[in-house]
Amino acid sequence: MIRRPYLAMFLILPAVTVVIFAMLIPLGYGLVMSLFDYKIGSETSATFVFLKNYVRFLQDPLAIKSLVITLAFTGLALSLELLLGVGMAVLLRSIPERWARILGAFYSMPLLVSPIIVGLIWRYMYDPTFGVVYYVLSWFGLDSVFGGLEKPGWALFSVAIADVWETTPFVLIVASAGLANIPKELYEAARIDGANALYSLMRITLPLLKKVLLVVIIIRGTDAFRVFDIIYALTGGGPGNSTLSLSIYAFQKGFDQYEMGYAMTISIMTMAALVVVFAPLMKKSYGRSL
Amino acid sequence: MNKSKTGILILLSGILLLPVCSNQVSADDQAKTGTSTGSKVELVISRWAGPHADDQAAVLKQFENETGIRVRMDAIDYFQLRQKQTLNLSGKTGAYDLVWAQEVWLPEYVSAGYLLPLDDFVKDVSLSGKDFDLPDFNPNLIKINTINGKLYALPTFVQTPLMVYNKELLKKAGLQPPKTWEETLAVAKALHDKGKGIALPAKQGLAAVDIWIAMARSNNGNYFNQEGKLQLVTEPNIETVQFWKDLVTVAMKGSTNWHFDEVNKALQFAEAPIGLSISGLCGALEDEQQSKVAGKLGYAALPYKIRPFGTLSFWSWGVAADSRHPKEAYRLAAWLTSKSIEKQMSLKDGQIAARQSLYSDPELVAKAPWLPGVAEALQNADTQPLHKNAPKLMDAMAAALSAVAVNGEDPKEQLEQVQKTLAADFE
Repeated sequence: MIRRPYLAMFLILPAVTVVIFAMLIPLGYGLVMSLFDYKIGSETSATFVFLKNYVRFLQDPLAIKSLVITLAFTGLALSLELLLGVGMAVLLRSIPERWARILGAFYSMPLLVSPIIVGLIWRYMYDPTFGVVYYVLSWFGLDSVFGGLEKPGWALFSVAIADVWETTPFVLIVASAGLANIPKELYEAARIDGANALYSLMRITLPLLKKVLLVVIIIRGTDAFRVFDIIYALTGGGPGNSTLSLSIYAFQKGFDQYEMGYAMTISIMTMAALVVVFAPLMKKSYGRSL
Repeated sequence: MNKSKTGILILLSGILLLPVCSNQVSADDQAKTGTSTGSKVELVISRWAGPHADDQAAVLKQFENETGIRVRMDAIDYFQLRQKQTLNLSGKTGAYDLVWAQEVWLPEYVSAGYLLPLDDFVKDVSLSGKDFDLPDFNPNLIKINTINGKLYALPTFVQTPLMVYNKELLKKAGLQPPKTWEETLAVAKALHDKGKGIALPAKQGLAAVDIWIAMARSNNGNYFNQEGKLQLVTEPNIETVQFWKDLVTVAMKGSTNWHFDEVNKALQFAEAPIGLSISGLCGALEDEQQSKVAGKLGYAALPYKIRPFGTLSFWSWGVAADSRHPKEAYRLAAWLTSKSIEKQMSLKDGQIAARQSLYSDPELVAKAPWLPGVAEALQNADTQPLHKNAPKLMDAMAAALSAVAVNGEDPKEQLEQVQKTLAADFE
């Protein structure tokens, strides 16, 4: 039982205020405005259309395509980030601590770069005429195979690579913190019993990292699902709408085509999809910690 | 002890909330004074970043010296410009006094009430200045900027896509500068076979659409029929999309993710022997400090089928409806678009002004070798549609052209798709 409930309420008041004003009110506004047809700046002359925008979303081939693209991007980026982030964290644990700290700091540097700058950097890196990616691939004769940002399937993969480059350090840092809590004696005991590195990874490391990985999946997964800046900087949603995520589509509808009501609807549907995909994981995460 | 801890915690919470309250107070104060610089007027202008913006920033110091009005420029990337202007103007933040807007944005801006009508300001000689001379503006541009009988913006920076070729590189390859579709395809193919090709702004976006519609109109194609209804699936339009598809197959590697900026860079660094760029960026090509090809380039209208045709794009200065200094803002717009300042800017970076008297100025033609190419393109020229649903059409065409370019989709099918999706919006 809390001894001073009023003091507790007073102390959490700033955080609650931020949640209400920065999250709940805009969400409510978005939900209400998604029931209208209006242009930005013309809110007072909005036409009430009720659920027409939502019906339109479900019948819009481009909206469904952008949902599929968003899911594909999230799956691809998240898988690669987990693989690389956890892998690097495990490898860093196996080298002398001094080197692990230096390399860890070095690998974390992409986190310091803003996403839009990452997009611009990789846009030039992927350029077939001027960029370093094609230059390196040409050493192995792969420059004609790699589609980069030009071919539809390859474009989404290339955008995911750029995103992975930027966000894997986050997974690395969190996984490293999780690994630090695993007692070294467990590995010593396993080694004495004849376990190899792979066995230790699968039977000791990953099971004990489950809670940490669940949190990483939720945080990075929701971020990847809402991806905007890196796609906007790299491809703008092209080529042929093959990298058109839900956020980019909402942006196009709201700011390029002045259909703000529909753009709000796309944003609400994005949130709904996020809840459907990640709510079970969040429930699992809270269930474990109680 | 517990009481003192509680007291400390309450004090810390108060300190945490204090910046929120003080920000609101200072924001209110700023709203009352209008500027953060006391009694002196400061205008904020919003425009597209780039070499032209840099040159204009230098010229603005003259205005400051003449009038005592300070000017701050918010110059940003083209892709963010409209969004940022829209956000500020719709929110009535008062952040901008003067906005540089493209002709296709103006109908939307006017209908949303973002801009002030300028007719009363124009009549005031103390604001317009003696060098203003309204009849000297290109009458077509004034007509486009006059909506519902009122003038909403002063036209200034005119541009059109151009074909740019490196005379030395073409000569080395034994090729002549092309003019027609067939000639261009042949030259591009010959260069592509040697590892280069034509530099195209084939990224999914408006650059490709600007070029496509100019080429379609050169083939007697267009978006609409005589009754003004959307009619995309016509022989001339299909032929043009097919030509675009053929051109992309002989384009330089990377073209399908290039906008005008990247094409210009490829020309500037002598990577591209030929390319489709835009007149507003040609200054950088002839700048000896920045360009490897200054003095080596030729300029012409876009490849045509029947006769040359240009897509007319121009920028204008509009006074924001929520500006706290509308008269001063208009004064700046009139100064920037006056004959002497436009000529100064043209001499500085070869910009094409909206002033008729400057098109044949010998001093300017000597400085900007692309002017004859522009004149050729603008003999027959038109803007993109100014219909309220035009942005949807542009986006749909951009996606269709990209699908044709990267996926090899059928031109007729893509046009049919766009027609089916958007016909109702243009009834």
